[in-house]
This record gives sequence, C-alpha cells and structure tokens, in this order.
Amino acid sequence: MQNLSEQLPAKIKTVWRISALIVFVCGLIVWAILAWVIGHFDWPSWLNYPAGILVVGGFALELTLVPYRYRFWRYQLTATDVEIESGFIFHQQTAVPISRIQNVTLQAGPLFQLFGLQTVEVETAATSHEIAGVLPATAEQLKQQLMALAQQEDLDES
Amino acid sequence: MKAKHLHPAALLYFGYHSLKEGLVWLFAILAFNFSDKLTRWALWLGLAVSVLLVGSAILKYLCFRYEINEREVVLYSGIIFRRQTHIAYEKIQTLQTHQWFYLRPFGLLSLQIETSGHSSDEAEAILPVVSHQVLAEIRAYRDVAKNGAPDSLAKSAEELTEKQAGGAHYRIKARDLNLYALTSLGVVPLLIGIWVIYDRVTEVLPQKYVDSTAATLAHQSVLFLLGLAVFLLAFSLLVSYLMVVNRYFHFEVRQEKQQVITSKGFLQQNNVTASLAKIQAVVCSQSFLRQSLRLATVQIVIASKTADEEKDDNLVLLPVLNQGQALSRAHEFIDWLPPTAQGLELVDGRGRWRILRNSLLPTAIAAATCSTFWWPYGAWSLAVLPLATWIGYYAGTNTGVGLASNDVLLAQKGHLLTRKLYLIPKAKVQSLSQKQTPWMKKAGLSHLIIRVRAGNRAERVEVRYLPMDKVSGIYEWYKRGADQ
Repeated sequence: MQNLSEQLPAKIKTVWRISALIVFVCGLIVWAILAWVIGHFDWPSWLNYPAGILVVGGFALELTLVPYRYRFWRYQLTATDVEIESGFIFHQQTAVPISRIQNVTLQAGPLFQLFGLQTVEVETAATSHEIAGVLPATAEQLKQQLMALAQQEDLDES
Repeated sequence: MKAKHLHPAALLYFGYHSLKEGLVWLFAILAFNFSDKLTRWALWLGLAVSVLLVGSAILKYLCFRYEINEREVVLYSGIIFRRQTHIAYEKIQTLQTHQWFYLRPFGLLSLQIETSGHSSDEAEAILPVVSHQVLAEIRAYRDVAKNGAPDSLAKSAEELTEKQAGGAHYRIKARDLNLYALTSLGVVPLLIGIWVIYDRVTEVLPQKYVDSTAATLAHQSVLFLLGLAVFLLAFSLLVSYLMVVNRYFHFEVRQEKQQVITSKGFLQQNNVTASLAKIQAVVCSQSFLRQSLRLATVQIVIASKTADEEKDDNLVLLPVLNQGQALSRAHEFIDWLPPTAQGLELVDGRGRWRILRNSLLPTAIAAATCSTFWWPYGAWSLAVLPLATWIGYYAGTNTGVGLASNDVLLAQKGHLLTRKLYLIPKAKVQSLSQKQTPWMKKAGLSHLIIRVRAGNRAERVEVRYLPMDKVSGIYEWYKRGADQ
C-alpha cells in the first residue's frame, strides 16, 4: 500500500484533543456519581479502581494516539476516484470510484464549526465513507468535483 | 386509467392479516380467564374485538386502490394516514408473484413490485390479489419503458432477437430436487425454531401446566425420552425435506428479453422476473455436504429484496447442479459470467495457517478457561476443538481471489463449512478496500474487502490473508477501470 497524498488539516489534532477532554470530563462526572453511590449504598469499594483506570487510562491513551491517528489518516481525490486511508494497527485503504457515488453530504458539529472544519461523507448504493475533518474550502472543492463527475455518469445504471 | 379496487377476494387477504394482528388481543383476553369459566365481559370484549377486526379489514380493502398508466404504477392506501406510492416502470428491479393453489383456478395472484429504494424491508408495492391481466399490463408497460431508454448492456437488435428465440432454459429434474432437499441443512434452523416456539409457549402458558408437563415427562423412562428425541429429529428432518420440495417444486428458469424469470413452488407458486442489467453479483455456494457430493447452487444478488426465505436475499438461479456444470449453465443465462472459475487463486500456506489459527485460538482459550473454572465438567468443552480445527482448516483451504477477465472479480470464502464463490462484475463493486496489520505487512499478506449492494443492504465480502501483491494488483485494477 502506498501512502496517499493529502493529510487532514493540522488543527484536527486540537479538535481530537478537545473531544478527548470532553469525554474525560464526562467520565469524571460518571466516576464521581459512582463513588457517591458506592459510599451511600455500601457497594464494594474496589469498584472505584477499575472505573478510575477506565476513565484516566482511556484519556491518556486517546491523547497519545492523536499524533498517530493524524499521521495515518490520509485521503486523495483523483479524476476517477476518492481514496481514504486510516489506521496503523489495522491499516486500511479504500477506493470509491466517483461513478459509484450516489450522494455527498457535508456536515459539521459544534466543535468542527468552532474550528472551521467539515466532514465529507460520500455514499454509494451500498455503503458510506467519511473523510472526517477537512477545511471548508477543500470540502467545497471536493463536493464540486464529486458532483460534476457524478453528473456525467448515468445514475440509473446501478 | 382510473384507480381501481383490488379483486373482492382481497377481502379474505385483509381479513386474514387483521386476524393475525388481532389474535394477540383475543389470546390476551382468553389468558386472563384461563382459570375461570368465560365471564360475560370477556365474551363481550372478544366480540367487540372481532367486529373491530372485520371492520378494519373491510375499511382497508375499500381504501386500497391502484392505478396503472403509461408512466407509473400508483398505489393508494391507508385508512387514517393516506398514502400514495408512485413507482416508475424504469425503476422496477424485480416483479414477483405468489399464487396459492386455491387461487389458481380463479387466475388470481399476489404481485410484489420492488425497486432499489432502501427505506424499508418490505417491497415497495404489494398488490395482494389481482388478476393475470394486471401483471401482463405492467410487464408490457415496463418493456416499453425499458426499450425506449438507452441501456448500456443491451445488445444489438439482431443479437436480442436471437436471444429471445433460443433463450436459455432450465427445469429441475425430480432426482435433482430430491437430492437438493436431502442435502439441505434446513433442519438446523427448524430445530432452533421448534425450541423458540417451545420457549414462547412456556412463557405464555400458566406455570402450573408447564410444571405438570415436566413432572409427567420426568416420570417416563430414559428409553421413552430417547425415543421422543429421535422422533422429534426425524419429524424435523421430514418437515425440512418437505418444505424444500414444496418450495422448489417444478423449479424453472428461463431467459427472455434481457430478463431472467424463475418460477417454483407447489402449494404456493412463486414467480420472479429480474432484469439482467440489475444483477449485482452471482454466488456459487456449496455446503460441505453438497461439496462432498459435488453439487453446487447458483444464486444471483439483486438490489432489491426478493424475499427468498431459505437463503437470505439472494435469488436462486440454479438450485442444484454438478459443480463442474454450474457456472457453464449459469453462463447461458448471464452473458458476462465466466463459464469456469479459472483465474481464482487460493491462499498459500501462510494464509491457511493464519486462518486456522484465528479459528482455533479463541476456541482453545475459551475451552481452557471453561476447563479450569468448572473442572471436571468444563473439560467437555474441549470437544469443540476438533470442530474449530475443521472449520478453520476448511476456511483456509477454500479462501481465494482472482480475476476471471478484465471485468469480473472472483472471491471465494469458506465460512462455517460452506464454500461461497462470488463472481462480481467490476461495474457493480461499490467500493474496495485493502487492509493489513504491521505483522501482516512483514509477512506480505493483506485482506481484501469488496462491498456490493445486496437486497436492501450492503454485502461486505472480506477475503482474508491473501498475498499482498495479489491484493494491490486487484486494487489497482479496480481503480484503473472504474470509470468504464
């Protein structure tokens, strides 16, 4: 497998870290509630440890994996297809020919909006594939290109 | 044409469906009174429910109308929430009819129209009871719509007429049907079904009946219980055999005007018309049992639900054939299909070993855990190890990929002792992935994931532990000609 040309914008790393932080805070709240329940209802107190390890360890792991995730997440758009690549342990590369694409969706959650990023989702007759986090200009260009190419194809064929 | 009502016999159809829905309520009323005699209010309630059911059936019939014009079929339905379904002829993927034996003398049938829309599991349109003329009318309109539109797969006019004249045809022989039914592993789901029904019944029945039955059984001799088990098994086998014979009775398939038409069934005759251009893939499958008898089944994958109860969503093209002939016979019906599986390359020793390991290792760990924690009875779990070895070995020796031509991809898997060979035209592969771990990269291996549309969902065919260069070759092949 050859690495694809385009990387996600570097600020996606910040978004990932922030979302990891949000998950961590939520985890902490759940842990606090658990600790209170344990004290109040005389549940076995050792339950605190696995919960704590899960919350703190999960957060630490998530943070450490951010640079790796960033490094291996790549995409590429040519005249005939979209390619998406991700993962280090399970390294996967997918080709979606533009002639198979049925529709393209752009979306952005609150965090993505704050950082000016967008998710591009391409859908075929069978599956959907996502490029998570590109700059709006890139997203727009991607969409334009996909739609222009898709319009040339006979959509009734599939 | 003005919108019409269905044939009056459809009242029975709606009545039957109302009854099926209402039976739960009637049963609930009955269950509340199980210990007592029927009280008066229960009787009144039962009567009220019955009237409601009959009334709703009649209302449903009155509200259901259909219209057939040059452009589309329109369905009007719903009592409170009015629904209008429009189906353009060009979008029809399959036309399916069901005809119960008692409706045959009257020339009535149930018609199902399917498109590739994937909003629900049901067919887009069901006309429960209509006459043969309606079917003929829709078919005629559809043929006009299809031939008017440019069709990339349509051949020249001469070739088309030649096809029509000598269209391929296959009819199952009695011996083959018998063999097919005998080798069907349908008894396994049937036994599970019996167990589920038993489970439900014991849940619904009051506890005292269950207990007394259990007590009666417990007093019987071992011989009697063994006899009962054997009887149940033999009975299930017989039922499964009869079910398959009933479903595939007089199985027939023919090619006509770029369509394949299959018909089958004894008590209920089932007829499916599918357009050749809409075929997403062809699957040639063999369970280990049929493989040992050198028999194979050919199915076609279509982008709509064809509601074939035995085998997921796929439509059976040729139920049972000698494995050497299967593809060459299927080729007569489907032009692009290669007559043999030439080009398929099975995984090598490295891949076989890893597939075996993946099957064996989790089982071994589970069995070891069971044996340690529940010694000595847990050690019985070690008995599954030979089975896991067999499954893993089977999977390993039956996995492979290849290119049959520049347009057809071959992929074979051996999942749970059933070998499946997928033959997929390049134009119908929706997306393709290659996947590997760092360790696989070192060993020069890679997985290949092929996604095609099947029924109302995506079928993901993952062929594992293939040589890396083979996989990247196929990946490049797919990208290269994707726009053709």
